[in-house]
Amino acid sequence: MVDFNNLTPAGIRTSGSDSADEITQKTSSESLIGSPPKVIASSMEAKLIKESKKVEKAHLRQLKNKRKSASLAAKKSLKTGAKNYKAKLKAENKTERKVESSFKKWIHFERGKREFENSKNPTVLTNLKRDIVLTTYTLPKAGLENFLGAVEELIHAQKKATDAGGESTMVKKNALDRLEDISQVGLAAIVLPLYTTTYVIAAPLLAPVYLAASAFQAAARNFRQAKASGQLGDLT
Amino acid sequence: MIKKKETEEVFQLQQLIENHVEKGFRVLTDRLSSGPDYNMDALEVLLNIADCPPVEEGVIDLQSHFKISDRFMEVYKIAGSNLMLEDKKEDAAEVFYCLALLSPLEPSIWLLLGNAFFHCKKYEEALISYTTASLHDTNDPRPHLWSAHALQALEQIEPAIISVENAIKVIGYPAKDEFLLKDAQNYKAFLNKL
Repeated sequence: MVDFNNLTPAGIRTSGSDSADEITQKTSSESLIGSPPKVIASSMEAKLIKESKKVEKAHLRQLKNKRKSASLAAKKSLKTGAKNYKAKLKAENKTERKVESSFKKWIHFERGKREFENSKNPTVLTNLKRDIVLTTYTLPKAGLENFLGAVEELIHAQKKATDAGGESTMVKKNALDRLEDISQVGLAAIVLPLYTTTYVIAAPLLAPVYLAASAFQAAARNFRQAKASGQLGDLT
Repeated sequence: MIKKKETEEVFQLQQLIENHVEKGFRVLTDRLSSGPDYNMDALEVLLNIADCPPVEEGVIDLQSHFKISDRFMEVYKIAGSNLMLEDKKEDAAEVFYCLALLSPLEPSIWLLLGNAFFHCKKYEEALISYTTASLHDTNDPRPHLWSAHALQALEQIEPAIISVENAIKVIGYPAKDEFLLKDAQNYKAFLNKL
C-alpha cells in the first residue's frame, strides 16, 4: 500500500525501515505510484484552465457587449448629429443639392474623426487630412464654407486623442500634428474669411480636374494642328 | 433654375481655365521650342497630352495621368523661373498656373505661383496659392511668412502679424532656421510698429 501523504515530487519517499528490496520494488512501481498525483494535478490543471477559459469567455463577452453598445451609441449619436446638421443647413436656406453635398462631406469627416478616435491610427488621420486638402479642389461654393469647420473638428479630435494619452510617441506625434494643424489652419483661417469673393479667386486654382484635363488636351491638339499646318514652322 | 445657374457657373469656370491653360501652354511651348529653355523632349511630352485618354473619376494628379515625369516637371518649373528672372511675371504666373493644375499636390509649385502672383501685384491670388502650399507642406514656414507680406500689401496688418507668428511657430520645427527666424522676428517687430 502506498502512502500518498509521503510522496515526493520525484514519486515516493522511502521510510528508514524499508529494506533495499522493498525500496527497489517501490521505486520500480514509481511510475504506477506517480501517476495518480499526476492525474490529480492534470485534473486540477484542467479545472483551472476550464475556469480561466470561462473567465476569459465572460470577459470577452463583456468586451463584445461593451463594444457593441459603444458602436450603437456612436451610431445613434452620429444619426442625431447628422439630423441636427441637416436641420441646421436647411434652416440656413441652403438649396437641397447644397445641403446634400455639405451633408455628405460632414458625414465623411465625422466618420473619419470617430475612426481616428477609436483606433488612434495615424494613417486614418493622414488620410482624413488628405481628403480635406483634396476637397478644396472639388469644393463647390457652399462646401468651401465647411472647409474650416472640418479642419477645426479634426484638430479637436486630435486634441482629445492627445489628452487621452496612449504611447508616448503617439502623444508626441499628435502634439506635433496639432502644432502643424494650428499653423496650417492659421493661414487658411486668415485668408478664407477675409474676402467674400474667395470662391471667385479660388475657382481657377481649385478647378475640377476633368475641366483642367480637357483644357490641356485641347491646348496640345491646337499646338499640333498649328504645327501641322505650318503656322509654327519647323520646330526641329 | 438651380441647374441652369450651376451649369452657368461650370461654364464660366471652364472658360476661365481654358483661357489660363491656353496662355500658359503657349508660353511654355514657346520657351521649350526656342530660346534658353529649348528642350524638344520636354515639348514632346507636353504635346503627347493630346493622345492621353480622358480622365476618370477620382483622378487628382494630372501629372501622373498624362505620364509626365518629375524630371520634365522640373524643366517646366525652371522655364517658369527663368521667365520670372526675365521680369516676365505675367507669363511666369500663367506657366506656374498650368503646372499647379498638372500637379496640385506639389507645394513648391504653389509657392512659385504665389510668388509670381505677388510680383504681378495680384495679392489675393498669391494668398490663395500660399495657403494651398501651406496645406501641402506643413513644415515649411515660407508660405506663412510670404503671405504676411501679401497681407501687408493688402493693408491687413493684424492678419499679417498672426501669419508671421504662425511662421515663427513652424520655424521651430523640425530644424531651427536661425536666419529665417530672425527675419520673421524682425518683420513681426516692423509690422507691430505700423
